[in-house]
Amino acid sequence: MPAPSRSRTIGLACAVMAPLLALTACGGAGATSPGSAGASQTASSAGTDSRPSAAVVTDYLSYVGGKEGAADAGLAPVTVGWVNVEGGPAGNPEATQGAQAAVKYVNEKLGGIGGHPLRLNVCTVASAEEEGQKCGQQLLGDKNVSAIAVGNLFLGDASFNSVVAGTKPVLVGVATGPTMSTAKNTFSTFGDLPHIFGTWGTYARDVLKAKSAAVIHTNTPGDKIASGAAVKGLEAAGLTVKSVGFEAQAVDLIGPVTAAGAMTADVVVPISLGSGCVGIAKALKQLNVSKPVVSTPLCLSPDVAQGLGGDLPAWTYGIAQTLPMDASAADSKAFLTASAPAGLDYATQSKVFAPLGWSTILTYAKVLNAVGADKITPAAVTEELKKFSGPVVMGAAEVQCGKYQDAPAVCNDQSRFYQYEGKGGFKPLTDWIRPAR
Amino acid sequence: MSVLSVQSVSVSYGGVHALSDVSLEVRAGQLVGLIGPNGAGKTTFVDAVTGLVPARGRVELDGRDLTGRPPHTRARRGLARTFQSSELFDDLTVSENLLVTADRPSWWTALGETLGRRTPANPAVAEALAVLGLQDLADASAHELSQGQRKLVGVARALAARPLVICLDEPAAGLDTAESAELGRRLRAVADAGTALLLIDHDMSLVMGICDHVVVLEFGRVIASGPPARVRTDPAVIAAYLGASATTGTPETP
Amino acid sequence: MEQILLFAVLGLGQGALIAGIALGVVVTYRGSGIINLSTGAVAMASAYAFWSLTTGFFGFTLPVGPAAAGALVVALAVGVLTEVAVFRPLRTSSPLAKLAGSLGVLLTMQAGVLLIFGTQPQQAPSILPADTITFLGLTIPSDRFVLTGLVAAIALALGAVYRWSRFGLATRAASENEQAALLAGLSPNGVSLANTLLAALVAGLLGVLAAPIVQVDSITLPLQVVPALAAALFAGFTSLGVACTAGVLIGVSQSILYYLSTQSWFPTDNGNAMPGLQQLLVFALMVVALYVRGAGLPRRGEAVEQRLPAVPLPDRLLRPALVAAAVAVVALIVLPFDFRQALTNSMIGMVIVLSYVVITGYVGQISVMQLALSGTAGFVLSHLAVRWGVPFPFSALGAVLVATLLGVAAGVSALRVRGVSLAVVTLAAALAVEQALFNNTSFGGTAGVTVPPPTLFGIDLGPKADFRGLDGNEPSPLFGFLVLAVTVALGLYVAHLRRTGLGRQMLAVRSNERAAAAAGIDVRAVKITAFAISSFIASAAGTLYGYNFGSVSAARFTALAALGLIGFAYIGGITRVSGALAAGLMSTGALLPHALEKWFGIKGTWALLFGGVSLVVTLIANPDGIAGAAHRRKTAKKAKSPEVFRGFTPVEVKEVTS
Repeated sequence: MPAPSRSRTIGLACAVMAPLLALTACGGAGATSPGSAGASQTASSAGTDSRPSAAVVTDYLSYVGGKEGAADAGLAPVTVGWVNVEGGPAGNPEATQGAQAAVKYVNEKLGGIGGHPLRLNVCTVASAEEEGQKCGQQLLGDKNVSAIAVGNLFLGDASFNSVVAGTKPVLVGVATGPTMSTAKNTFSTFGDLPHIFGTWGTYARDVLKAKSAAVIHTNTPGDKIASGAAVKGLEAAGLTVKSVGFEAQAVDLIGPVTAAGAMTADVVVPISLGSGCVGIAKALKQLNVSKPVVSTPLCLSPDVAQGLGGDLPAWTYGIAQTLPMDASAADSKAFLTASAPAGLDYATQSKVFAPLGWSTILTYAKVLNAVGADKITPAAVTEELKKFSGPVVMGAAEVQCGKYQDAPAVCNDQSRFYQYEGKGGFKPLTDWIRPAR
Repeated sequence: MSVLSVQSVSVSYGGVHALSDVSLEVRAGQLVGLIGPNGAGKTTFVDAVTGLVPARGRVELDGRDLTGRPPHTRARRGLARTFQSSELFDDLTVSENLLVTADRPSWWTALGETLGRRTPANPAVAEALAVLGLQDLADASAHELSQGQRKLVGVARALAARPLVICLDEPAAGLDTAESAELGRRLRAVADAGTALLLIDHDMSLVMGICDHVVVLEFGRVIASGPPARVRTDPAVIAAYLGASATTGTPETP
Repeated sequence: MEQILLFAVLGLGQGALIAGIALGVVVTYRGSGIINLSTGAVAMASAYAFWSLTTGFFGFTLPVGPAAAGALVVALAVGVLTEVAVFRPLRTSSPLAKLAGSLGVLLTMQAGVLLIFGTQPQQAPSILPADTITFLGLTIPSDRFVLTGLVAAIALALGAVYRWSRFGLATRAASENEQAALLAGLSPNGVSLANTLLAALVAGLLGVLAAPIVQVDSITLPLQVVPALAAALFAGFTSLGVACTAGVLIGVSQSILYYLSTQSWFPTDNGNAMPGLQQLLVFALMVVALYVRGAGLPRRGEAVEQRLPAVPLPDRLLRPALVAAAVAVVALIVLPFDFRQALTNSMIGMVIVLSYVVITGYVGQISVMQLALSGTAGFVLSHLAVRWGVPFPFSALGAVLVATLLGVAAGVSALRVRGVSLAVVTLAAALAVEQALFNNTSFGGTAGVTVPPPTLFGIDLGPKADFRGLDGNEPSPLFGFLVLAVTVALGLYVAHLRRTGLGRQMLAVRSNERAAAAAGIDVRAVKITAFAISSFIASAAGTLYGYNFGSVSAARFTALAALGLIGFAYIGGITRVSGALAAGLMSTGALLPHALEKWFGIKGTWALLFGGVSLVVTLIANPDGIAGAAHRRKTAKKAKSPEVFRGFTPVEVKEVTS
């Protein structure tokens, strides 16, 4: 009867966010936050999408290379394994809903996989590490499964990966579980938190003209890796950085904020979530720090708003995904239009893992079509995924899998920066930018 | 030649002297009584001799110096004791209680037992049970016993170690007169078989009746020492007991 | 220097929190002799109540004042409930049973808040002023001073109550000599209830006030009981003043230590601050406290003899073991893969609990550290196999050896500490190992470190071996056989141990250390041997765990998980191998929870709740655990019909004669 350990807090916190203020964000690089309609109106030249229109995925049919119309129900189905954390005290069932909507869409509109209907073999992790192992065993045992997709697997990923161990390819939107980024034959189209921090350097140097930075991070394993990456990214851009961690349960953060030198630095980078974000925001206010704060989207959660008396901190956020509720963005519009008849209601669409699940299945549809329905084997799918270079639905125009030797699963290191203007309003500050060199 | 030789043992708790310069000798086959009013330091003396309380002075067993040795070493050298409140191992059966003292498992035998080798039954256990007439209780759980039975098992446990000396701390307390007399006879037999016994008891008739030699303590000091007949008439002893010897049943005949 | 002063003042907040919970611990102990591990959990309950009432969680929102009052009512209700349902029935039990009872309360309350409020950490509003004051050029939030002042005032008020009121006199009388107090006509139940309520009130108040210091979740406030226990140890579980002062000072030193750890000269863990320094500090302080105050706790003149559950001599070993092993072999081949996996998990859980059978069941010492030793063995196994290329089985043996040595070292240093104090100090040690060692990326890491599968003479014995069960899936039955072999061997060994001289010596030590020493038993050697055996078993379980998952990660070996396992062990029957079997079947991912989830959809948190409640019920109604109850039924049956196995003969005879 072990209680959920503190090291899991990051995942758990991610998993239970409710759409207060129509805002949800979680996970890592791809985690993002829907803005309000107001935000997109303010979206002006400064930050409009710089992706070539061909790279913004709006035409799903040509993207996946399918045939218009329904799949042939008489043909043998193509099965994709699906693993997600849900059904326990924490989890993101909307990821599975997004994936199932995408499957329905592929089967009804995009002609399935070469005419074969697509289906999912779903395995969920509720509350224990042991269940990840069970899912790995279940999907390895299903001989029809040649490709596995993952929703938000922040728990049980270690045992899942040790069972699958590259035997079958794994495609995941955001690599949330700590072992996902290094897992064999795994491909993360939105990357993970540590690897988009290179862009913080670019942004701080080129936009803010900053010379020094104060990084304040939670002492959770994930955030420690992330902060290390942030320090590297900022230092690569020529900034001097002081990084200070604090215990996850602490909310009184005047000490860490002071120790990090936030009072004298040009830019403050909080890497935390939940009450940690609240504590940093309060400490910055108490210490009268008015320097720019560039945060991860992990601070964009309802409990942070609640902890601060109703609204989110008005910081800058680096996000590796197009804001799905940004109606002015063409790819967001395409997602909203296509997924609604496939069964996603507005509330579900606005939860971040629904579009991620949607995007992941569509990527598989593209890859499986390229392999050919009758030639699908784990090895063939793996080879095709290795060649995948984007564009990603709701994501970056170009991705490169295997770029990072320390994290072979990470395919993306780009992100864009939004300014939160209060009351649900986001203003794009940059287009997609790359890490500093 | 004394089996147990205690020389000038002193114990103090804080500033209070519980024992001052107590010396005592017990020879093989001898049964020495140690008496004294409540609080005279009798139990403290046994604790000091067996190493359970830190003490100054010298303790020799069979000519070997035990001073400063931990309790279990003294026990293994042949110094056994019983406790006033028996202090049996309640989680074990009676015969297991005896086995604990009878067997001295070395690393070697422990390893053998681990590998499943059965250790042969230790004859000392059956012997000790027989001496005290406890054969029927061998498989009883220690915590199921009556107070009187516990006392006897405590004595049997000490015996099972086949020690050179046994210090018996009030073994007859809680026994009725007949049981007490029976115990006395059995103890005498043990002593006659060659074991040295140091008997502490309130039961004057028991002590005076079976002991070869009696030592009297008061306020942590020896106030008298000698054969029972002489000690009983010692004025200091009579004063210490305030005539108690007369009321608690002096032996019928000197 | 200024910075150190600033951090010292900032640490007052945490210090006040620790001091407040320490006061609760001391008050409960004085009232009922219980070391209440759930004191922090009471603060958690009240904090959750306050948060939910102020944020409209239940559909309505109260102003801060009534919400705080409501939170205190919740704390008091929790106090009444634990007193009446747990502490009172356990009043005559052994101190270890009382400690385990409070553990049951802790687990139940954690499960309760998880089920009601979810796992999301929450942020309650602060009712203390949020303004700052400038002091020597430092900006300091004023709530630090207010909070510290409040806790000091509570300590003074409690002190006055104990000194001058009739209730205080009764408490002092009861804590010095329960029996005498009983004779003097004082009701120990009344005294105990009043003190538990006082403690709940103090803890509840802290839960409401703690908002500016810590978040509201199911772990943080409950675990504040560990530094609070360190403060209480300094206070000898008696002095309110010392407990309060020590608590505040612990918070202040943690804060200063934190500041030092952010300095560039301080050693780091791959660029990040060294993890677990605070927990190491608390552990070190506990060791100091035990050294300064002596290892024993003040004893109460308890009215009733207190015994641990009995440890009967096992009559038959080999036959039931072989039958169980045969059943397991068949099951490992024919069952579907998920049940095979659950069976393997059960066996590994059983092995860990076996280590508790030795150290707690046979020797009567609660060591919370055993699971940490499993973790150590797992991590060392990974390093040996991956970094040094040591092949199986030498890698596993080496890992077990290293972890066993650590366990023996801990045992040697804890020789003077026994019983409840040992449980407390090993809890702090387990936390320190979890935070400082397992979360240190150069040794452990939450992301998990790889463990290559065991191969012997080129045959893969791991869960991915080629030989699959009937359904052709992983895990391979071969790995199940390996785990089974280890489990049966260790189970037989532990059961057999009870029959050996060493086993008798262990039980003698458990019964009475003085008498054992006088009987020629080297008590220290027996304890160290027991620590070694128990650590060996726990370490073996750690390596099996590593092979099972192909990796080892810190999350499995937390102090809280260790407490949960001790709970399972008690429920199963901590003095018996059959109890370990029952506990193993209940542990995480084992057959029972798997079947419950698969067939009835009952999830993990409910299991936590079930575990907490059944731990309390077991302690009160059936201290021997499931195995003990089964044993009693069996012996009762035997006593009634000694010829059970020849039952047919008399019937035939009857027919012939009639």
